[in-house]
This record gives sequence, C-alpha cells and structure tokens, in this order.
Amino acid sequence: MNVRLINVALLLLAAKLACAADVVPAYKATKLPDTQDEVELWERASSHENRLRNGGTVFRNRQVEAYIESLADRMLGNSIDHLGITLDFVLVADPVLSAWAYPYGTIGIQSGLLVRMDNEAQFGAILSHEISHFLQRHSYREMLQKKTQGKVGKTIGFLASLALAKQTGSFDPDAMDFAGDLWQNLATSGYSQDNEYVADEEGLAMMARAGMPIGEALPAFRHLAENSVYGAADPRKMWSSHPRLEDRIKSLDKDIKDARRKKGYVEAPPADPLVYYRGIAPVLLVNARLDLQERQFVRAREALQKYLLVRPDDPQAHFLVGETYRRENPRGPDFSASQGAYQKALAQDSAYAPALKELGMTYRLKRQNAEARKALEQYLATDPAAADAGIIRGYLVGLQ
Amino acid sequence: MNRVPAGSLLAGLAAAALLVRAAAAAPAEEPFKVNKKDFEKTFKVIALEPPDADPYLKVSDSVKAMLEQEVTARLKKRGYTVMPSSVLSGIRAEMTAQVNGPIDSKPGSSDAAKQAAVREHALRELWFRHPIDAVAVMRIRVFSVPMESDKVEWDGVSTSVEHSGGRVEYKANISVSSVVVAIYDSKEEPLYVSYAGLEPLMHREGAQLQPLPVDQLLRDEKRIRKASQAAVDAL
Repeated sequence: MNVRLINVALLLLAAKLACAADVVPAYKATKLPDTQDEVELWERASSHENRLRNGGTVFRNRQVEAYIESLADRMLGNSIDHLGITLDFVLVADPVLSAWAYPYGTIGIQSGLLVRMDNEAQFGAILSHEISHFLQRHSYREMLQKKTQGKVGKTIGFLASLALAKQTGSFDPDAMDFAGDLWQNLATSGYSQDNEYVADEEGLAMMARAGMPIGEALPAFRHLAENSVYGAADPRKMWSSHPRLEDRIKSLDKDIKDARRKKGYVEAPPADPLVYYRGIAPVLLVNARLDLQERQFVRAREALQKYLLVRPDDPQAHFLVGETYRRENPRGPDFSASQGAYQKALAQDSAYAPALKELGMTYRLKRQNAEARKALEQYLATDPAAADAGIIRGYLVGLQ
Repeated sequence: MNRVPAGSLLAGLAAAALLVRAAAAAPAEEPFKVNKKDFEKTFKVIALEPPDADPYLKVSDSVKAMLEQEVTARLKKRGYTVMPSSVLSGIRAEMTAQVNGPIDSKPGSSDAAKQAAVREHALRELWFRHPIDAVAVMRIRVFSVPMESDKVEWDGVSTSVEHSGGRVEYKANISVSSVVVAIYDSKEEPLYVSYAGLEPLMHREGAQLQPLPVDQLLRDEKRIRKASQAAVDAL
C-alpha cells in the first residue's frame, strides 16, 4: 500500500517535473552520445576523468562502491536500462564536501561529502541530484546554450575541474576545456540556476522512489555550507553558492511541503544511520586522516565516532581519536583524553605500535618516566625497524 | 592587435608544471591571525626553523643566512627574544645521527620515512627542551599568479617580466616566488602569516612563457633582503 501511495506522489512530482524540465527530456535519444557536439563533450569529460583517476587522490574501495551502486539502483530501478549505460562512481579523498556528474553517467564523490552526511537518505539527496544532472544532460544542454549565446562552452562541471586542481596544485587548462583566465571562468561556471532547481526536484522524486524520507534533503543541503571551514577564500566551496544555498534550501523546503500535502502521501521511515556508516566505513577512516591533516579535529573525531559505532574493534580508529586530542593540545599538560584513546587502541591490539609510541611520548611529556620507558620499550619491541627507532632509543637513554 | 595565443602561453606553463605549488595569488591578507596586541603580550620567545624553499628552487646557504638575518633583526627590534635556527638544526643533526643518517641500509625503512621522522621528532623535542612561545618558519615558495602583457603584480610587488620579441598583449598565469614568514604557537596554530613577492620564475620568448634557468634565480641580494624585510614588516 505504501508503495502505491509513494508512486502516486512520484507521479505528481513527475508531472510537475515534466513542466519544469521541458527543455530537454531525460535521455530519449536512440543512441548516445547523440550528436557530434555530445561526442566531443563526452571525450573531453572522459579525458578529465582519466587524469583524475591517475592523479593519486582517487581511492578504490569495492565495498563502498557497491553500497553506492545499490543506492543508485534503488533510485533508478530499471528506468535507464534502455540506454545501455551503467552508472559508475569515482571516489576522491578530499575533505571538502563536493560531488559532480560526468555527462556519461560517472558520478564523482568526495570523501568529505560522504562523511558529513548523517544517513543514507541525506547522501541520497546529493546523489540523486547529481544523477539528475546526468539524466537531464545538463552539461550538454548548457554547452549548447552557451554556444547559442556565443560564449565559450563549459563542458564538464567545474566541480570536477576543482577536484583535479586539488591534486595537481594548479588548474589544468586542458581539463577546463577553454583558454583564458581560469579563475574568471571558475567564477562564471556551474550549472544554471534553473538546472540546479530541476536537479533538486528530480532528486526528491528519486529519493521517494528509493524509499528514503525526502525531508532529509534539507539537512543534506545545509551540510554543504560547512565547506567554509576549509578556507573562506577557497573556490571549492562554490558548491554551496551556485545558486545561493539558502535559496535552494527554501525551494527544496517548498517542494517537500508540496509533496507531503498530496493526498495519500506517506513519509518513508527514518533512515538508520548505522546502515549508512556501515556502507561507507572505510571512507570515514580515510577522511578522518584528511581532517586531521587539515587540523579539523572535531570533524575528524565525529567521523571516527561514526566509524567506531560500526567497527568498535578497530585499534586504528581509537588511535586516531587519540591523535585528534593530542594534536589539538600537543603540550598538555592534560593528556587524559589522548591517553584514554591510545589505551582503547591497545585494548583491541596490545601490539599496536603507533599507540604504544604516542602513549610513551605523552608520559614522557608528563615526566612519568617509568611509564614512558615501558611504553617506548614495548614500541621498539613491536616495531624494531621503525624509521624513528634510533630516536626512541635516544629518548630511552634520557629516561634512565 | 598582436595577441599571444593563450593556449601557447598556457602550454609553456604546463611544461613548467612542476614549479607550480599553489593555485593563484591570494588577495592581500591581514598577516596576524590573532589580535596583534595579544600576540605581542603572549609570545615573547620565538624559535626560528632553518630557512627553506620549495624543492624546485636551489637556495644557497648565503641566501638562507640573509633570510634569517633580516627576520631576526626585525624580531629583535620589536623586543622579541629570538632562538636561532641553529638550535633546531642541532637537534635535527643529533636525531639524524641516531637513525644512522638519512639513508638506511635496512629494508623497509626508506630515507624519506627517516627524514620525516627526524623533522617531526626534532620539532617536538625543541618544544620539550626549550621554554619557547612560538616557532617562526621562513620559506621561499613558488606560486602561480595571473599576469597581463609582461606585467605581473603579486604579494606587494609589481614588476615586468623579461622578454624577447616585440610587445604583445596577452593574459596568462606565471610562476613567481615569494618569501613567506609564518609563526605558529605550540599547537601549530598559525599566529602570523605574511607573503612578500620576490621574483618571477619565467620569462617570455616570443609567444611562449619559459622557465628561467634555476641557477639564474635568487641572485639579487637586494631583492632577497627587501622581500625578507617586507615579510616581517607587520611585526
């Protein structure tokens, strides 16, 4: 019964969408890519994706990819089977919240985005939004539009170029697909406001189809504002400004209210966060390390706490929690939080060398020489070939 | 209008991609990351890290000495107690000896891992052994900044790019160097970060921007001292 009611809601949404998205319907072409322009667009995007994949920040994890694929399957069902296209996903290790769609159905997702979402419905809101950009051929449409307007056409989303820029340290002019001042182009890039709203709305429909509570789209989009912590002048935060995030949230809120007012609408049950944390667990750990490097200690801890809810036995995660406390306050004098976390790591694995070392180092700072000596000796016994073994031996001499 | 094709200029930049470490010239920033008066009250003893440069640049000991002299002079003039970089260098040397030099014969322990270990432990040890309030880092860094028609302006410096061939009008990005002085507290939180433009690292040959030979860089003592002074001028 619920499914039928959801379908009614979906039909209503779809009818509304049909009006909003009459510029280009989602793939109806008999062959793809459809025109020479689109062929070139796909080639350029593919070249960009290849550079990204070869650049060192992409990480492959079959478990996470399979989980994301399963979410996309729930959203799409068999609706794109006729295209002969299978969605693919590229995961990028970057703490900034960002995602983008290549025109042929590969979705780029940064670890920061996965980690900051609280459940799979929130992540589903962003994923469905990006899938909609693909389904609606927004990059192709915008290229055609800009051509008509006599402007140099942007092809792939600027977010994808930003991900590439992060790893090369510079914007690659080929990847950006046009000559001239790259920064200026950045400022004018992004999907048009109309296309963003279409993707938001279609995303809600896909969430409902997947049995996800559509209300979770609001906190999902609010999370996007968190990018400001990675630098106020950082253009990567532009995800949250094209169009203005507040406007999009208002528009989404209205769409959600409209959908809920429909007769027979039934809200999907709340999403279980643990299901989501389990699905993305390796990303939680990868991103916690990145946030640690960025000195985002609270964020790193939050990700690690999520991770430990589903993998409480992992000494590495406990150790990293300790590192967030130690690096936040490296000279102490209170090391109870970091030492507590190191002890938890050692409770899981008494030979976990990094925890032994840092435990010893914090005891040394507190002038608790006997405890320091014991922990550092254990460290050396566990990892005698460690790169810093000689230095630790030097400390031990001083601790006699 | 004689215009240099942007594609060619960008191709020149791409050839020098290794030079580029940062994406663009940042707008002028307030160097103090904390209240200046609080900084002056709280941080009295400042230890210097040995001056350093991005890997592309070859920095001689005399250039490093110039950097340190200028920064030390300014800090002392402003009433700070300065711990010279030789203190941290000494700890690094001691630890390098403890790990049997920077290159390891043992399998599984690369010299890079050892060097990283020495760097990390030495800084921790500096804080452990000495009652310091902050650490100052001096580094010559490479950036990519926008330029127009052989004129480039970045980090408080405006200069012309050396060129051969006739006058052309164009826009491109060019690699340049800047002196960066950053001061961190014991939590490694930045207290002060200041950039001062040093010199362009490229010149134009006709329609191409080309990297200057590395041995032609960092030879102008006046320029180096001026940039070093500018980087600590706000202190």
